[in-house]
Amino acid sequence: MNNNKLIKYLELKYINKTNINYKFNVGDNISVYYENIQKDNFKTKNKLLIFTGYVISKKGDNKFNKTFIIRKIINNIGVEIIFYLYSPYIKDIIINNKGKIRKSKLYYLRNSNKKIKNRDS
Amino acid sequence: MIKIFGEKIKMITLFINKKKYPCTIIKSSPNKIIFIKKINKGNYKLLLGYKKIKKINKPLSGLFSKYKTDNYKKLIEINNLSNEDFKFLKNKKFIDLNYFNKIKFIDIVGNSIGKGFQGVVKRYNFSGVGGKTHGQHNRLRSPGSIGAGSSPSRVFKGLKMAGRMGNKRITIKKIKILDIDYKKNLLLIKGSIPGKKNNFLIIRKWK
Repeated sequence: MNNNKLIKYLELKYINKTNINYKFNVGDNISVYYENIQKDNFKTKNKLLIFTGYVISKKGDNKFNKTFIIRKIINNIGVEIIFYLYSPYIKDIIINNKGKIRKSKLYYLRNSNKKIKNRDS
Repeated sequence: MIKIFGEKIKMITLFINKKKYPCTIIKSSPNKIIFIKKINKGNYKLLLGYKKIKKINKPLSGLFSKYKTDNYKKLIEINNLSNEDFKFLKNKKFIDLNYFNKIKFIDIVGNSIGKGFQGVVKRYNFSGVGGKTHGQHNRLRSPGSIGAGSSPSRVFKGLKMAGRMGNKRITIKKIKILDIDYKKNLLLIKGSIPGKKNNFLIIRKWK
């Protein structure tokens, strides 16, 4: 049996089905609702956090390895988070704006003050 | 001890109970038992074959026609089988991953990726000779001196020098099994293993 077919079989087996909208693109402004576990010595707290920003890149060839990076500027400091796309910690994804871009990876945003235009305007 | 063949497929990241594991997928279709013989008291000999092929040379075709089996690409001969393993294999034609049922840890043997002829800096982590300046040139990654002068008047054996790197047989012990898929004959283990994709591996129990 083909190796790619074996991996698709494993994807069906191990990745749970959710109602999350995974169809966002690079350059979109999205907000990710994700679960954060904080472990103290005695307690474990589950918090639901929100991170909104622009998607810089999407990577990975199968559902196990797919990741995306979100970038946001807080107090003139750039902050990035890498998420696994099908990770069980992500609870919801909401698309705020669709971006108009020319490249698939927007790493140039790290060194310049350029801003992403909206697709509608 | 029974060893069976497998093939490396790919590495993935797997979430089990919200915990992230680095995971390698190994494919191991059932291994054919070509024969089991008794050598002497309590000692058995086993021959296993893996992956069917059509073309084969004459001496091996004599072996397969003697035991009336198909032709196999990979063969392994195992001596010193214990009585328990012999009872497990009795009246069976194939071994598959059911052998690793209810076992936590395994060992894996494979060939590492070949790097070709490499210098001493990459092969043995030498630091090279000095710096670029102070009159030195064209010896930045060289090994330096290889011994004293006239008193031994030779180079000692086993001195680390440039040469072929990689493509060696490597065993990794105590690898944790994350999951086994008996339907498609897949083994999911924690961590990485030597070699490229589609490399042949030998899998056995950890003692």
